[in-house]
Amino acid sequence: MSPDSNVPQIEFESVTKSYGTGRLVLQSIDLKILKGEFVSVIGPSGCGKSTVLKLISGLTPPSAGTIRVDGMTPENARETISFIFQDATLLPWRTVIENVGLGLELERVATKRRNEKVASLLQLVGLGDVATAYPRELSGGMKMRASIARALATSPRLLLMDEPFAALDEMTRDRLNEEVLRLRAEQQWTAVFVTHSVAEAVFLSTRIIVLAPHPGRVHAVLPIDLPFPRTAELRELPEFEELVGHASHVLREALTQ
Amino acid sequence: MKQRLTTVANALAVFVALLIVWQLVLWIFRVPRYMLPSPWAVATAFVRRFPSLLMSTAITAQESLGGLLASIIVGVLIALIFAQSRWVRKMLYPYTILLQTVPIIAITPLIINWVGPGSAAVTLIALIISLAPVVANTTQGLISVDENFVHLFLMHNASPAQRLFKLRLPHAVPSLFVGIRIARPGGDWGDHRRTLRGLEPGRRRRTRLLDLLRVESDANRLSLCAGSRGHGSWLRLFLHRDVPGVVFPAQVARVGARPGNGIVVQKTPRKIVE
Repeated sequence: MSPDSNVPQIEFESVTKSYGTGRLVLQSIDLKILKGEFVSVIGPSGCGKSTVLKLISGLTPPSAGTIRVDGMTPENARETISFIFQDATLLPWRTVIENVGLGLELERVATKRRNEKVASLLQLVGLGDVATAYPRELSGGMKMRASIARALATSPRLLLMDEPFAALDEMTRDRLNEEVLRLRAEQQWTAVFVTHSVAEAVFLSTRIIVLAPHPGRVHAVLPIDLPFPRTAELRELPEFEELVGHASHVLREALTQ
Repeated sequence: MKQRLTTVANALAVFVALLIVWQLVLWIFRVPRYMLPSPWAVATAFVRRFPSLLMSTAITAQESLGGLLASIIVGVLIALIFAQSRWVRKMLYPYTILLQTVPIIAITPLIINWVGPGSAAVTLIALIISLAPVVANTTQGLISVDENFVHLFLMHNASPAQRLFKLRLPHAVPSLFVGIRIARPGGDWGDHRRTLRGLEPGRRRRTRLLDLLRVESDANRLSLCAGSRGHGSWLRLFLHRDVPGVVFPAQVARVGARPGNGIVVQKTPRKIVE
């Protein structure tokens, strides 16, 4: 799937963000993310990766500059955005089915429609068998699947993911990466994905944004021209390894600069 | 089963040994009866007065349970107010401490003047004693919601009522139970209510000094045990098994990781989005 024409879904215009006593986190970021893109943001710790997602979602306002999502302010665009956090953030007092339906419930979608939607999503992410289990009964990977299902339940046009697989083992992470691409092919959302893992970023993305730290700014933008659909075998191809090597090199540059 | 029998047998052996020592002390030192009655005298008095003791127990139970229930209702309402903002907590928190540090004995005469001696006074005192742990723990539960959960709710444009009823209140339930666990009769404060019976008219004055000492030591004990043990252990003691929808190990583990300092309102370990 290629990015749709040239419709920008997210626009940053010289966005600066500082916290509290003037600690500069992001400095004049200009950014355009097109509909249908899968953009990963990588960078050393403290470069403001997560802050980028918080700005897009309107959870924190920019200190200067403007942000547009679907041509609206981030707050107004929230209905079309879903956020996947680093930990699965499942409510421990709710079953899987109740957790996945949370977004729809908060948005006051009728029970019948909600249940249908949740049931089909649980099938989609392979959690049909544990629908009535509590989060504590699930493995880390299953929790993440539930979290993804919850994010997709509200049919987002934009999915923001903040290191969602950082706490998982590599095999689980790889498998979930493949599933994320499968779901995206089916549902066609745009994604902004923050990660520490270069290989993960290369595998998933159409484009990688490399941030440099102190203060956070765009160091480089790397297009990843590997064809879709991408499958597990892609990881073994020399082109893939080459791209990972190149991205790692750019990341090191950003760090030492 | 066998192990339990041995435990019971051991405890019984100690009990019997103590009775023997007690009786021997009376014989050897010729202790007069008004200084220390014999075990037999105590046992017969217990049997003879059993109906009266039973009734007193019933009354005490009623008063302390009434006080506890009232403190849960009042305490949760206060905690809801406390949870509204840091400023509210800063303004009102000192008075929670005040309530906790003033020896209840000191204000008991006032309370009796207000509502008269008897059940109402005892219930009110039970309420005041139980209030602090309920308020402190419930407030902590309400405000210690993980930031990501708050963000999750915000992303779905959740109303303040939805955030309260679907996030903060359920999240505070385990902490509320911790508070109840500390406040309940037989909990760390429980002795008060038993000693308070001594305050009723017609009892000898001397018990008052004893009461005072006991209340003081209990206050110390509460602060000690509340400071040294995590919420989790309290919760596990209170609810022996998982109750779906109420208790959940992940939660317990998280809450347990922070020591439940009897009053914890000021120490907010995580950044909270109001």
